[in-house]
Amino acid sequence: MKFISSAIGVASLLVTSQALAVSGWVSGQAFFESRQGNYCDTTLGMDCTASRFPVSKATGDQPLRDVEVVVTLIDFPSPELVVGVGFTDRTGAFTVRWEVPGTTVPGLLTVKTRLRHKENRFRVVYTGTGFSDAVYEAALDAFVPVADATVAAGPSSIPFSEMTNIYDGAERTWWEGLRHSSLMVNTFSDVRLRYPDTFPGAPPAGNASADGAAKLIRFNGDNARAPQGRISHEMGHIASYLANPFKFCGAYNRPDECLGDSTACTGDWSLHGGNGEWYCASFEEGLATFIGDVSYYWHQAVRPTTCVSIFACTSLPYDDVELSLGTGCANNTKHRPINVDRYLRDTYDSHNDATYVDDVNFGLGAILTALQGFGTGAGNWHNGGINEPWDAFLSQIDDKEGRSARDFRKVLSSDSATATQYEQNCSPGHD
Amino acid sequence: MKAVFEKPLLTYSSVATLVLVGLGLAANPSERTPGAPAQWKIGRISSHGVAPDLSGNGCGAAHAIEATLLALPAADRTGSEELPFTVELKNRTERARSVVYSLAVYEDTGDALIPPEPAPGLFEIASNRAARFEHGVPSRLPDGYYYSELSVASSDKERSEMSSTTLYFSVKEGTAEVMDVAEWITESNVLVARPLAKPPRVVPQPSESGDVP
Repeated sequence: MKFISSAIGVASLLVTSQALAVSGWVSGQAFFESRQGNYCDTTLGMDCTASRFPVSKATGDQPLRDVEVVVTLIDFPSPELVVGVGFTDRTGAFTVRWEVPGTTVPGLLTVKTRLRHKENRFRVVYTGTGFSDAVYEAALDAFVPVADATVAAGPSSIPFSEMTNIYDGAERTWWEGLRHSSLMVNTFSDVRLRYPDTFPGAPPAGNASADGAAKLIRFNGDNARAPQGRISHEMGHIASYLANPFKFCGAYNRPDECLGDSTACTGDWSLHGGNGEWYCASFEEGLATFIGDVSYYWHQAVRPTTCVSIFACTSLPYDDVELSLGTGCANNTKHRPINVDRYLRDTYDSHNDATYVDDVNFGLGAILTALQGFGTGAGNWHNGGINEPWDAFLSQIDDKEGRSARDFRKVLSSDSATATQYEQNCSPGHD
Repeated sequence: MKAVFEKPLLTYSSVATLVLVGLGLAANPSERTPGAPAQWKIGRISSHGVAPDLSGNGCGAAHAIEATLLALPAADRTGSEELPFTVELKNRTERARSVVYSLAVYEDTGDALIPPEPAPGLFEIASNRAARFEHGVPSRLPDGYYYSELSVASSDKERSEMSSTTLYFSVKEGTAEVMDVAEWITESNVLVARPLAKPPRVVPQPSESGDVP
């Protein structure tokens, strides 16, 4: 008998502690007004084979994909109470369950997006109070709830803003490119894309930078509309870092000494121009560009392009990533990051070159995993090490030509596997 | 040099085309578009330079033309209604570049008050020099939040590029005032969605799943 009374007591406790709540569902579809560049447009004479970003996806109301959706109850009991969380799908559609404590159906609920990827791969943030980063929110709709029923909200579209453009560019980079690498699935998460960035050290207006260790991409000024050369490129830097963390040399502006962290540095880098960059910088910039480019053109592409543009890339050879300059390049040309980009494209693509037999076809995952072939143990500053440009204390750069495309060639399968692709693209590296 | 455009000339996308037309490389002709008259005043040309900064783990490649929009605060202006601002275009390369730019004014809802149009037509900026143009936002805008967008297309006959920069401002009790972008985002309606009568058709990619890059 004693056992039975104890059991009854427990049951009573369970009944009395059961929370009362009113719940329901809200469904809708979230769009945003896109103004993206870097699209492919056949009407401009572009070859859009294997393009992942046709012009039809670049402008107008586009679905806000895989983004967080929250339902909130205003002024109860705090200024704002989240009563439901969900995510949009690949069409921007969502269905979110909400639940409010008590027995009374609430008067008005709001639904809004937070610019955070459903797996928290990345989020678009602004500089909040206390040097913290807050996720952007965009109001979609407000609705009168009905208990135990689905209420339809929207469809609605967020006006053009850099923030939604940045989210869209990042989402494309993840969906079309990075998620196909198991290494990235395991490492690429919680990346912040901060706009606008007003902290010290922010990139100049119209530019962007990436900090791999902090998993932070910083935008300043309007640069969210050229996603390939900004959003996707910077995510490429993050991917490069997460594949095998290293200390970036920042050795731009060859032949001048321009090591990135120097306040006297008045230069910046160019994918194509001038004397090029030192190989440690040229490789990293070419690599980041290549990783970003994959989200725009997959391996079957006939004429993939790359550029920083709020429209399409041009039809000039300049923007043609499938172009190979051959083996007779001048030293300045060899140091230009575009040749690294083209070398990596040739290792990746399944399209034969017009000027030589390009018969290798490594996947994006294999290329990213190959970065782990750079030595990371003691003495990693030596040839073939991840920090080859640096001295043993990682305080001084003593080899600006280290960690180059030549070193990468060795860790991608075998030294000979992509030797032709390397040589046919100006041999853009150094031992 | 002074000039006033009485009517819009070209569409937004035609700005890029115009540069390529100048090079004989454009694939599609430019088109004309209707719209409200714009009153862009074209001013003097002078040199201006901004040293770029490098930081972090890898920066984005720089634009050949550095475009800047500047504006005078209300306290420094003689009249409060118009918002005079300056377009600065600096050629950071070692080669002369042909340049065209357009300006547009949008409401925070995304609606264009003044559609983009190229002004003042194709011109050249010498190596490492800058061009400066003075403009004025049309007066008597209703109170609200706006942004002006400068789009620039340029070419050195080898390399073409297009970029944009934005100036955010508000009109309160008839007075136009430039705003910090973060403040503008917070106060405006840019993050309030507009209802759509009918959702646009979403076209899936050929292989949303299955194929791999």
